[in-house]
Amino acid sequence: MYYAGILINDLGSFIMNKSYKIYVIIMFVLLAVPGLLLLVLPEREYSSNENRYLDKMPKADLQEISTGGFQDKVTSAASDQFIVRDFMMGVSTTFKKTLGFKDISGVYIAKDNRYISKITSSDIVSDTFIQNLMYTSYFAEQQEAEVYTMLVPSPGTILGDKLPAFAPFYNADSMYNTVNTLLDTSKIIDIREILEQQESAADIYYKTDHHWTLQGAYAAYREYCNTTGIQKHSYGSFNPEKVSGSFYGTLYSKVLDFMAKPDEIYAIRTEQAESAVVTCDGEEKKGIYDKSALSQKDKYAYFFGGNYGRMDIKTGSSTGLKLLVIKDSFANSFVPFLLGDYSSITMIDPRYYNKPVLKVAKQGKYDHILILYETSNFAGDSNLYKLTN
Amino acid sequence: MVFSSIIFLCIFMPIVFITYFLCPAGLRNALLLIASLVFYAWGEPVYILVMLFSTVFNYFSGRLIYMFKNKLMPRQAKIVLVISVIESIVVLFLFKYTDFFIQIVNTFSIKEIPLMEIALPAGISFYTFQIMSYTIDVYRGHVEAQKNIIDFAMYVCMFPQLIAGPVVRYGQVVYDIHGRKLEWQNIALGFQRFVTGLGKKVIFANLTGALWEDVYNASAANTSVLLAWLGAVAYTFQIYFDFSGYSDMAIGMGQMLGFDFPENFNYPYQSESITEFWRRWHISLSTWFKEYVYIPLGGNRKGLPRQVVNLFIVWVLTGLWHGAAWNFVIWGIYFFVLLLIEKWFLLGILQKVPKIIRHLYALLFIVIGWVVFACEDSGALVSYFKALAGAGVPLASDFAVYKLYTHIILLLIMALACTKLPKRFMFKIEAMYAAKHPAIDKFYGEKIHFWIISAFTFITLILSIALLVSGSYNPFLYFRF
Repeated sequence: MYYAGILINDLGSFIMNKSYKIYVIIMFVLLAVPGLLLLVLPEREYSSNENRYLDKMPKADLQEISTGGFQDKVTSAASDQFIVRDFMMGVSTTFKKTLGFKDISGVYIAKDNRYISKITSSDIVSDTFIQNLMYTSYFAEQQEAEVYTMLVPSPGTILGDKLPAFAPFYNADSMYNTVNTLLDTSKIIDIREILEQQESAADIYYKTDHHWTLQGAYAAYREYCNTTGIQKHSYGSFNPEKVSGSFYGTLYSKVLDFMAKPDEIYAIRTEQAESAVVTCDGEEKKGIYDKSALSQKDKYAYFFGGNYGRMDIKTGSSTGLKLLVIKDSFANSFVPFLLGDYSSITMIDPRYYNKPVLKVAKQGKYDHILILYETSNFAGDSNLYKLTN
Repeated sequence: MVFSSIIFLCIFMPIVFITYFLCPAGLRNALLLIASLVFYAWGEPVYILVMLFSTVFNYFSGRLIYMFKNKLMPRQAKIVLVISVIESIVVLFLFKYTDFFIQIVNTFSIKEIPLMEIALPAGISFYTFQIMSYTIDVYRGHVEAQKNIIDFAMYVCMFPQLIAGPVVRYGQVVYDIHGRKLEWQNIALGFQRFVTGLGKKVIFANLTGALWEDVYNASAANTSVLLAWLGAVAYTFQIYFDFSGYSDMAIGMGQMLGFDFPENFNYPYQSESITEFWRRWHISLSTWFKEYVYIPLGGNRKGLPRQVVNLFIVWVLTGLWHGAAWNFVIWGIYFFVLLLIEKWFLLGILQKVPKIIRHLYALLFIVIGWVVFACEDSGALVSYFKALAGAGVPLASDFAVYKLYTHIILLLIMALACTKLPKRFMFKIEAMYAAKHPAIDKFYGEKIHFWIISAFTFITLILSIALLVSGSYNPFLYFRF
């Protein structure tokens, strides 16, 4: 019995020892394999999910090692090139959602499977905003043509009821009041009301992307027509059709949530849309849509292929009217509605355009000039000084 | 290099540990030293020279002191000791306290001396304290001088505790330097300990740290009493899980390598008094100050007034050790006053009140202490206390409510994790199971327990890596040391 006791004891510790060994080996393999793959696998250049180039392992450089710069690059490259990085980000998001976090990486987890850009009052720099209004005001004053300004409300402004309870969001009302006060040389098109009305009927903003949908852009188009006197056409007359059912937009990219449901993209199908000649920074294309975008991650680029410094559209319409749009990416899904009303439309994105905008606007002899920005983009843009050249 | 990084976890750790396990016992110390130097040089490619200088300097000091003692030349031994202690203090002062000193001088002088903005080498507060403990202990005759410079350098520079402690005294590991063995049990349990620490740091400390940052930087419009207290609680959790997590990682890795490092934290937030708190928080540091400052100054053996003075000195130094700024000095004195009051009469009173009152009393003053610790800027400190007290600030704000309900689950989990309750609960469940199935428990009980913990560490590791890769907020609170 005594020896049996010792035997059981020894057997016990033998079994335990085996458990210890197995555990240690499993854990070290778990750690070593990603590390090994980091060193051995070819590096990923670009992350379509994050829309940026990924950091890569730097070359060893004595000078850089002594300042620590090399080490920092290796550290960020190790994170960027980690083998199942996108999956890990999804795990992180799921974990935070389980904890009850309602905002992750600057994106609110809103109701109805929706994501909304988190923009708080500390994200709006008052000085920049006011300065941009001054630039715009000066620009409008210098023009003979009528200058219209449409500042699109942020999704969080119109969809405030979808935000998590008590979630901080910047006060858009006071900003629009400031716009009305300071921007007296331009005719302001306020689309808040029409968007609020539309909101219950259809999705006016994408759920996974920060842009507005075709429906949202259409509501703005109606208000534009009311203000400029251009004749409105019904939504159906533009033959809207679904071009994609698997759009995972910019907001999705920030969180990579496993539970995200994709958006649908609708685009109008008119004769002008197909036959218009678009010159993007010198390159000529036929039609306003970039079909290749539908098989990539950034499907919003279907509209005009993305953002160029300057786009000139020969619409094929015979009205003889010319439109200039100074814009951010929101205009891309709005402008198609106007193809039948203007013979030529020029779109300028100050972020990518370095010629003197004021001079271009004056010399172009446009009938209408439209400044179209999403409100928080407009408030923070650092390129609007170009409007004064 | 930082433990909580992909580079350390997936490249450094596997390479170093696997090589260590496979290499012959005689080469292990040299291997550990080389790995530690690479580890430190990664983060401090230039200031590693400071650490190497101090190491070599004190290696020779230790040997000289020991030689003089053996030759019955105590005066010469004392001279060498004084020189070596001065060297450590000067090095620490130079890199850590120069600008603080200049600022003090500037308040009195007419001409303003410009700040030197010397960078603070990582871990300097830890390794200088370890080195000082060594030479003093050799002088006191507690330990023999280490003749092998590799072994000595390994003790000073060992990567597990180099950057953030625990402060390991030479006598605590002298046997392990040559006597340690590799055992699968220690490797496995040490790794479990390490992952627990990693989870505390990356999951708890980093996430609650982000909450503190948001509160600290909140605009005036968002400030409220609720927000201020929420932030204070967040910081209280952050500093505990950050620091104790790091200690867990250090102790766990030490265990894997065959070392037995001392515990540094013992559920400090379960304390029922400030006196008890300081027996449970950063134990290696308070032990160091007691051994090498309080007792040499006379401790409580030279009368009451002298004891008060000694305590005051110790607490000012403790505060200063944590940072070269006035809020840390205030923080130290804050505890000095509380400890004095407790010693004087408060502990007696506390014995007579219900346990819950004692806990609440201790937690209240611990949390307030952390606010002082966290606000280096005096303006921020004053306005934060105003907010805590409700002076000119609303009771609640939308922002505070939002932050509270989105973090409440995390806060509750962390509160539980500060206590022994999870462990006790697990043991209770296991005991119930063992009573029902004694045979299974006898043969497999230990194994089942081990694999349950292992599964937990597996999940913690995956989550930690996920959070690290997703680039979540990953600052290191204690790098100032």
